Amino acid sequence: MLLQFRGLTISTIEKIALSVTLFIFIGFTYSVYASGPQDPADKDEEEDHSHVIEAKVPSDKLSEMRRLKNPVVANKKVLEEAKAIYTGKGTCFNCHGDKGKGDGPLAESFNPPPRDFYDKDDIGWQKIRTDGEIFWVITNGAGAGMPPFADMLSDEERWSLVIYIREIGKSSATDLATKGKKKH
Amino acid sequence: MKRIIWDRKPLRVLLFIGVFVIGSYLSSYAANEVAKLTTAPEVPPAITRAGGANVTVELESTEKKGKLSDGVEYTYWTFGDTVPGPFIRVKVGDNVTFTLKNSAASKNIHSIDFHAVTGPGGGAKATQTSPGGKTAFFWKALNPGIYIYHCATTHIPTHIANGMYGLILVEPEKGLSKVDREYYIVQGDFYTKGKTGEKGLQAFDIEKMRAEQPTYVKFNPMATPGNLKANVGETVRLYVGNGGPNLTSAFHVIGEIFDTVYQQGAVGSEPAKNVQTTLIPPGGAAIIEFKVDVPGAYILVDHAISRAIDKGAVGILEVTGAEAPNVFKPLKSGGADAGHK
Ligand SMILES: [Cu+2]
Repeated sequence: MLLQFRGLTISTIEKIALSVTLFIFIGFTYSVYASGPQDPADKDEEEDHSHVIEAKVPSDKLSEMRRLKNPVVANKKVLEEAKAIYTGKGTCFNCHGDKGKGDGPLAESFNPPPRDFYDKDDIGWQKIRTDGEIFWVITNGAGAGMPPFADMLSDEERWSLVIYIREIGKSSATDLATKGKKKH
Repeated sequence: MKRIIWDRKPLRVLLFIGVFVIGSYLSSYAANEVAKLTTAPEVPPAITRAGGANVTVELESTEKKGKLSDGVEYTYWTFGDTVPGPFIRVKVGDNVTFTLKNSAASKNIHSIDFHAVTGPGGGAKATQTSPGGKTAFFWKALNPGIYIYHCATTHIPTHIANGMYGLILVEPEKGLSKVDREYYIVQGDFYTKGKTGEKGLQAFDIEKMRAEQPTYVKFNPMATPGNLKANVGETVRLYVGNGGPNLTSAFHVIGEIFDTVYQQGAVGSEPAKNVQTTLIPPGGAAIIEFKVDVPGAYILVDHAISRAIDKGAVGILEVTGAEAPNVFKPLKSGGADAGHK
């Protein structure tokens, strides 16, 4: 049988060649797909995520901050209060977005863009950064966009925001896992 | 009751007296005058006292919907619900206690940078205020002049583009010369998603702002409406600021010549005389004085004229009184052939 392709007739040899090519292509695609999400190092080569990965805490403070433990214990009440700060006087939602995806109404003002706590690109930010580091950035600000909240929010309020940010990370992980199941 | 204390607790009385003495000592550092603030185009009255008073100033930052042009609305970010914010008037040597309240209804942090302040950020660092919050700082008015104040919270250009600016006058020791009328005007450039004239509530367009292509250029966009007024023979003083964020104003009054201009608001410098158009950069201001001799409507413009004609940078000074034909009179004319009769 001859394969008709846009008026061109393809010979048997060409058919075999085409089949082999297709087979290799499908196999390759599947292997990439099956390997699951790429690790951050690989992704970095495609798109510049260095601003996501790099520590915002100065190097001389980094080890101290990484050791800090959140003194506020997560519970429903703390989460509700933290959400109220996030969407209210903390004004976090303006840049980081209602869902923490870094897509708030003012997000486009900033370069690099505001932190995506949801980590929708699955870069692994939530895993890399410790509570203490997040607390430090809320306290002291970072770069041109993120203001310091040392004078605007109490220590407890800032720690509770760390809990809220972690909660966003958890919901992201759940969502990604659910999506993953559907795919496979 | 006093006697009971006296009888039973003489130590308490001593303590009471001590507290009273310390209290009055401290209160001599507290403010003893609240600055009168006005909404543009009104200006507070000249200060008749000497400098060195303790003055309190309080502003509230808000986010409020208002008119930008006919049928066009915009959510302004303001000081005191107006754009420009209130006019503040103090005297050189004054000790100012400034408080910024940020409305609980605000969605953003706000702050203030007074160009009249000597100190970090002009107060910006000390006044980053969350919604519902309140901050304060003390400063001494060291230099006379007319100065812009503006919000300095990230993203700063956005806060300024939304209308967060106003003027503060630091009067020189002997005050400014007496004039008949004083008015307050601030120019600002605005950037809307919709084209110029597109109706409805318009959102801020950051790309147009970065490209410095405003859809509107306005004087006092959310202040007391109406024309400025003066009578023939009066001397008018205009305090004209430019909030920007981007455009430099070529400020001009059609049909008038500025007798005196303190360019860059530089009070104490020799003023310029007989100026047609004066440049006012973003973050700058000027004091302009002229006597009005002839009745009529005098149009204030940014003489980068498409901003006036097409984008709204227009204001009117209405001068009433007797005609002055020795200065100006229209000559009789008719149709195209009037000259041949
Ligand atoms: Cu502001």
